[in-house]
Amino acid sequence: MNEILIKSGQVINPLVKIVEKLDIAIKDGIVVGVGNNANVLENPKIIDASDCYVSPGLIDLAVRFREPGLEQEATVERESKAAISSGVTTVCYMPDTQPVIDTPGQVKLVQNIFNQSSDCKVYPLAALTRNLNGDQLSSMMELRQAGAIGVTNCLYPMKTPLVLRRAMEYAAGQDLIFFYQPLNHSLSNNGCAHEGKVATRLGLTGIPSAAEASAVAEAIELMKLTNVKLHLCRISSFDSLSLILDAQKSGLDISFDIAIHQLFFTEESLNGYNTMAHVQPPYRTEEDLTKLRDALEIGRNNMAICSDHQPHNQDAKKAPFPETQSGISTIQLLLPLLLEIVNDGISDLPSAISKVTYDPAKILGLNSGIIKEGLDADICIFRKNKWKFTIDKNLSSGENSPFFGREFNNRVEKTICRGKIVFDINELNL
Amino acid sequence: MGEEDKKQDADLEIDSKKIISQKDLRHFIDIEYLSKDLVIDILDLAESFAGVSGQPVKKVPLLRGKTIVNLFFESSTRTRTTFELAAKRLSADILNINVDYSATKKGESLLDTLKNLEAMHCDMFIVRHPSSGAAKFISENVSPDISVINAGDGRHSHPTQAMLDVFTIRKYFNNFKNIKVAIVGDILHSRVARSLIHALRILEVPEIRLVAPKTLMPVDIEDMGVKTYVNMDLGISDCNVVIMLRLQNERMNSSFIPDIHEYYKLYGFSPERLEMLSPDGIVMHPGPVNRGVEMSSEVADCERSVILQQVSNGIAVRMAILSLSMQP
Repeated sequence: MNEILIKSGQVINPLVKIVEKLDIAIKDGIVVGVGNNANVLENPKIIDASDCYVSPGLIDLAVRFREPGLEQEATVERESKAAISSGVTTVCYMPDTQPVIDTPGQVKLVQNIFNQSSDCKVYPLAALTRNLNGDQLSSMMELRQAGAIGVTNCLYPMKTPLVLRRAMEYAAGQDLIFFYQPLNHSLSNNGCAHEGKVATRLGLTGIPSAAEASAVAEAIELMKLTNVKLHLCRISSFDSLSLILDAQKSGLDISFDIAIHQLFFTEESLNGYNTMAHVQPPYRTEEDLTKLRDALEIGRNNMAICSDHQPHNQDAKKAPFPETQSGISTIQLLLPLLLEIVNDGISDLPSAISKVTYDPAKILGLNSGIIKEGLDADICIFRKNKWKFTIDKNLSSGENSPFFGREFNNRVEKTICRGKIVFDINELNL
Repeated sequence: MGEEDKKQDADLEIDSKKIISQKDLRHFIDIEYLSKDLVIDILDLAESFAGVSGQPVKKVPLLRGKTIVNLFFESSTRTRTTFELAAKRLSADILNINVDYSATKKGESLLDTLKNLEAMHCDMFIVRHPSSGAAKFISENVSPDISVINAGDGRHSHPTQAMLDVFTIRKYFNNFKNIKVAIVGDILHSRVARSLIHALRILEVPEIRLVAPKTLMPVDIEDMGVKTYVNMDLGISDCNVVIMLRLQNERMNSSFIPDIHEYYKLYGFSPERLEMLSPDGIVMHPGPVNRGVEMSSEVADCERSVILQQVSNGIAVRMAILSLSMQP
């Protein structure tokens, strides 16, 4: 039968935050034994992981693989390969495709595309409003039945706070997770950079931190009113973070995520009109960066790190800065970047890994994100191994990455999804 | 060869020597990274060109045979015209192209527009564009034998205007090190203000003040080495140079200011405010002036107003920049 024994790896347990040398037995896609109980297989394929770390497969809360409709930018098949090379085995799929994922048929279509051309598991998010118009609610019951795990309006504004309230109420009734990217669009004023000294010098319209924080405050108040399961996406500023941490302290079951690249850049990265630094929300100040990184150190609960993967075609970044498209291609570096933060001493290894495994699983209400008997064998094996990310190593079709030329200290060796080895560095000619 | 021509040729020899020392000026995009020496060289060269306009034959053959394109993605009269005159006085051929930017946004990309113009074998683009960073983008994407001059990009930079402003200031004050300069008005949307700050800083002006209501003052602009004032009387007090900025019509109808009347009271240059300047103080404006909004007619037309000198100086300064950028 299909049996794998991962021998002698340093297994990371993100729940109890320990790393210990253990064997892992996998049979028919399921973990059947860990540690002393791993000696249950008859004739397994053996993976010697004695110089490796073994982590649960990564769960990425925000990816855009551009299908359907924008295949000229990226495809599920190709981006999935980039994802598994970073140990990602599960993705939440953003609904701002063409057409928008706002019908049960669209949800099924995304699942079908993944079944046919991807080794990743997919949890589609559905549009909160029809065609993301911010006004008319989507048919949430049908979307949930089709398989949507949550709803989101992506980066599009809600028409009024009243619509936001009703959308929350309705989503709460349908037991859907409410993914909300907080931004007061009026205050953001079509800006493309953090409102501060760099935007001022470059003459770019700024987005103040208050545009995000005030939307966070509004969402928290409306969460209290509606009891929705609220997940705040792509937090970029210290002000927002403080509001969320205070709300959590007061007992609200609110979760949030930060894009991995947000932990590496400040507003200074825009100097010279570097269009690779055009992201939403914008890179903010040194203080914001430090505080966001601190949040990892403290090891907050209900906090995830996601890739915010947005591959673009080449033209997207070739224009004067304000006219370029925001977003960068990141998924291939989700784990290597996170491990750089561990390397910097900001976070211990199991706590950092938890932000891309156990925490996002908990946010999604999934019984996964941990290596445990009886659960799907979604596993990432990586080890210390210096390498440089160059354009010839880029697996995503998006070349819109600010990380080309950067060196990393860790590299994924193998990725296993549902008990199948879906990525092996030795088979990839990189 | 007539007497005048001989004299011109002699002048040119001197100029060319100066020019050859400036190899790093193929594009003129931003003042921020220029050295003090280069800024002063440009001003000195402009000084020598200032004489050309006064001659019966207002032409020098420095750029003979060169083709310059005025590529304007945003409307302009003054800047486009002075660039055109500067190019003509340098004997270049000049082509004016006004691109309806809203149309390009929908169809042809900026890159495609550039490639098409390149195919016409031009030597220089003088570019104005509504997006900040556009001039730099264009300079990075044209073929290497084409020079790009920034005639204004979004809110970012308008370097030739700033150069002509400091040129004008130098005419009145021998030394930049002893003067106080105030820039008053819509700083937020002003590319002129940003370029001026850089130019004045490079020339080591000890005190640069910005005066504006908080709605029109960019966040953290103090980081550029300036002092900010909400109160105009305090801001212009004892200044040697006050540069008034134009209040764009569209700002008056939005939430930046309550109305023109209140704006004039708070930030308009009234005759009474002339008294607050240093006794040698001058008043400048990049034009066109909204009389009665940012400045009264009495002030605009008074002896201490140098607005029209700025316009004539603009031609000489732009001649200097064009000729420097076009040297092989």
